Amino acid sequence: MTSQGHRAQTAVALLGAALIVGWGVARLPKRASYLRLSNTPIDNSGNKESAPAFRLLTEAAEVVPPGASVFVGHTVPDPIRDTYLHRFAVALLPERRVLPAAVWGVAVSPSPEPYADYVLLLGARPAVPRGKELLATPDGTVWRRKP
Amino acid sequence: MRSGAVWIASFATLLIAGAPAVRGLRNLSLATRAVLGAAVASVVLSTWMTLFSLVGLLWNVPVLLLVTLIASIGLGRLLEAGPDPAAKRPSSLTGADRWLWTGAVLLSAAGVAVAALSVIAGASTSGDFIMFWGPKAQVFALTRTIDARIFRDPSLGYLHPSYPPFVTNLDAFATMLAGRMAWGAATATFPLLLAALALALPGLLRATAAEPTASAAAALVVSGIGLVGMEADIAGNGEMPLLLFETLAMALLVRRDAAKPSMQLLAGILLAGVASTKVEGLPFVIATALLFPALRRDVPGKLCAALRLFLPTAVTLGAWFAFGARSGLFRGYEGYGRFLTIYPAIFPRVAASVGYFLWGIGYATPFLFPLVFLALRPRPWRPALLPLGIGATLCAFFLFTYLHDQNPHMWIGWSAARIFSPLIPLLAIAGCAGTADSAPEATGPGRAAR
Repeated sequence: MTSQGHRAQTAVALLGAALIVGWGVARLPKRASYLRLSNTPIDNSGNKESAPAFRLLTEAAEVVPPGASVFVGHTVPDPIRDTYLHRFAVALLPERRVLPAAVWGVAVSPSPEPYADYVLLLGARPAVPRGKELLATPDGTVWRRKP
Repeated sequence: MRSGAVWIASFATLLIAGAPAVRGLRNLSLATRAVLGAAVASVVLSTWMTLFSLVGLLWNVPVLLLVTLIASIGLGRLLEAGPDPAAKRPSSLTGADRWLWTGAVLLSAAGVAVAALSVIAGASTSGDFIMFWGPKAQVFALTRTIDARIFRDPSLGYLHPSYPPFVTNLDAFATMLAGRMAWGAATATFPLLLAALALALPGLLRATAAEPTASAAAALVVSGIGLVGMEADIAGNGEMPLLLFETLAMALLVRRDAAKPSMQLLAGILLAGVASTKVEGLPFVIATALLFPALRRDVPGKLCAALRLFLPTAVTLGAWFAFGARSGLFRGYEGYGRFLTIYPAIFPRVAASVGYFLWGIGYATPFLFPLVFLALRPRPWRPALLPLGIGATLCAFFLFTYLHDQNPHMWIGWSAARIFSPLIPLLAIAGCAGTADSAPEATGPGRAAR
């Protein structure tokens, strides 16, 4: 049998664990079902603003072949967001040569876009086509510049 | 979906490869032995992968598993645990203790389940995993080695060449087996390693704290790490393996049989996992190697004990820094400026920022309850000094690191909850270490003479 002192200490630990678990349940995102995985691994994380980039890059991996060069940027350039988009592209477009619109928060000048085989633009469809459109989603577009 | 399942299932090979290493730990529960074996195998595998890269051998999955198994068999001849005189198996509990133990088990399971649900919802994925750990592992898997070439591209400088290799090696191993990086599956390592901790920790603490206190402490650790992991987005990054290794090593070292050289070696291998997972693992290991022999009166050969704890780290990090030097990339960790160039005047601001970002139910409660648990522990306090001393060392190291930046408020904002999270298991282990001796069942005949 355990002493009263040990039981009090144990009870405090269990009370703490119960409160922590309860708070964790309260902090879970409200979803229709937990039987289905989220669309991307970051849908409800602190990086959820990058979920459209994750989706577009994942879909782009189906149409941009390994070995190709691909320029990645936003339709409306933004050096900070372009920097993070480049980092996501390095992750999600393996075996491709990713040409960034910006690195370290600074736009790359001159833009490497003319040297790319493919162009990926996050955001609205650009007013001027960048080649042959391969993919158009609500998140952005992918173009083939060279045959 | 299929490659994701294979990616995660690939870690089952570590259970098999690690089994021979822990065959001598028969007094531990099967779950504890299985987790310890897999943890040892993972450290050995990662070290082999670094050594292969160092000498220019390309990674080959069957060969890597074979050399890991051979090393595991060799370690099995060295590792054995002592008897657990204080251990009281859950099956022998009755009455209120039985209910408390059942509650602890259910709360541990609930803590793991909440972490799993947050991963399913994509609510705890680390941005660093997508931008840092994952891409490195993916390139290493494709090139079948730690590819130094990617670190020479200035636009990829954010990949931190010198960062220790454990996570990227293990992720590359799983990626080679699965055929591709499975981004979603990799985030599941957070609840899976939390489950491993929930399975192994009570069995280790049972030798130093009476049941059900041991299981209650484990429930507090598991739920606390789970909540901080959700709030601070740690899924997929190095935090969860770091916390697993740190917690297992500390739970081993507060046991009475940690006076045995073989247990010190086992803890040393886990500490090598700590040091090769994240940069802040190294001060943890150094503090442990110094404080353990200094604080334990029953450990003969203090220097040998310190060496057993540090030698595996010297091997793993030695291989890593040799690789860095050979490839011309690094000779030590990247720092935040000159080591001793700090701004002491901003200390009050640093302390205020840490308090600011850890204030709130989600961040504070996982630290607060282990602190209360510690305050309620019975005397003597000496067994608690090791985890408390290491916790104090870590706090001093983190605050010292923050003092290198004149305006670290934002840095503290995105890092404090993660890097201070080892305090959760350290406080909880300090709260129960050595308390079995003050329990009624530990004061019977034969104990008084000890």
